[in-house]
Amino acid sequence: MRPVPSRFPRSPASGCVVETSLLRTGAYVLGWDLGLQSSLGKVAQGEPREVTQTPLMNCSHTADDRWLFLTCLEADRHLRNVLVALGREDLFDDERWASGRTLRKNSRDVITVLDAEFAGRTLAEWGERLDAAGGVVGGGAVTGRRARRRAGAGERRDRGGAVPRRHRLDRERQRPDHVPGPLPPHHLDGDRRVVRVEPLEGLDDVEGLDAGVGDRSTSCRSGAARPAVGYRRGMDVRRLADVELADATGAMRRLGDFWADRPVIVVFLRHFG
Amino acid sequence: MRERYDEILGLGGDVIAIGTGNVQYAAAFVADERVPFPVLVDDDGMAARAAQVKRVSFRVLLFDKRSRAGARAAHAAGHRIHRPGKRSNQLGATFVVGPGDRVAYEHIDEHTADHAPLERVIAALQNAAGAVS
Repeated sequence: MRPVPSRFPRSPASGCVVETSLLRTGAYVLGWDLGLQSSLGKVAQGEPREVTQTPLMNCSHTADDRWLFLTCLEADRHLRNVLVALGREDLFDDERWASGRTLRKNSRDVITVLDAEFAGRTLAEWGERLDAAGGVVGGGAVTGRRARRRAGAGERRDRGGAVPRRHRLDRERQRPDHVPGPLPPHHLDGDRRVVRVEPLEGLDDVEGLDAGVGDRSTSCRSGAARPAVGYRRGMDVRRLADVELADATGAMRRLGDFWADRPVIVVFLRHFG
Repeated sequence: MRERYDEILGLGGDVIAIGTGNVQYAAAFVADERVPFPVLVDDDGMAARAAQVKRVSFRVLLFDKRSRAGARAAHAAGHRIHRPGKRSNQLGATFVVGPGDRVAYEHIDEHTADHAPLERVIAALQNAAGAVS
């Protein structure tokens, strides 16, 4: 799925249709669970979005009745940018928002805050704010109904008739309250072997997308220079600068003071000696 | 880094090392290894989290194939792990930071034998120092 955005034109409003193998798509979707099972011997359980352990990989309702899907895979890296986009810098010092681990521990509280904030603006507004905050990756998720509508009658005519009902992706019917649920940006459309590619808003501005955004093993390899603007990778230098640590004599030293007026090589050691 | 510390100072830069453990560990490390630059203790991982330094599972830590050659070479050279601290599954990283909030170079280790090439680190420092002057 990774190469798709680079090979096809991207427009947040239109999307595009590509042919792909159902087997490959299924393997992609199941890959995470299969990997966990093979390496750790356990199967991940599904969780409702209100209590999911990954609040920054989750969807929220926006003011214009759309769904916004945050895809901040590495929460530690994106957390501050998300708070900036939300205009909630006051949460910088909130222990629940300190790291990916604390987000997981306090996921209900965190999701409640995220839902309240995202409900206050439209999807388009959030797209702009997330971009401005440093390229937080998010996109408008599409309901099953809208996805089918976008596939369109014309497409069905081209392909020889309507899609058999029993093969349709029909999440509305699976949900007890009949409320259309969000689908992830890449989703499958029935037996047509068509994958709807819903471009993630803001991705056009993300440097290094095609080299694997979110994959720090790619972005932070030896000598990788930081992008001047936009997507924030790796360390959070301002947060690091505010950290105070004891030196070998026990005196507390603020890290930012070391590099206030000169460059400094900062080496993180695995162990002392 | 220790052998080239004078050169680094001459370029207008400096070095700090951040590790896990406690002040006694750090003091012993400075004395034993005659480390000339500041050594700081980050046993709670605040700095490591801000720098996005990786932690890996112990399975990866011990059995990652990529680290075997480096581990053997280090062992053959007489290096031993003495005081790992309580974040012993944290990997290393190297950055060139400053002046100000500028990050000129970053290398986040992928495994235990993955280290930033010193020449490239010093070159980045030289560039950063040149930008100042």
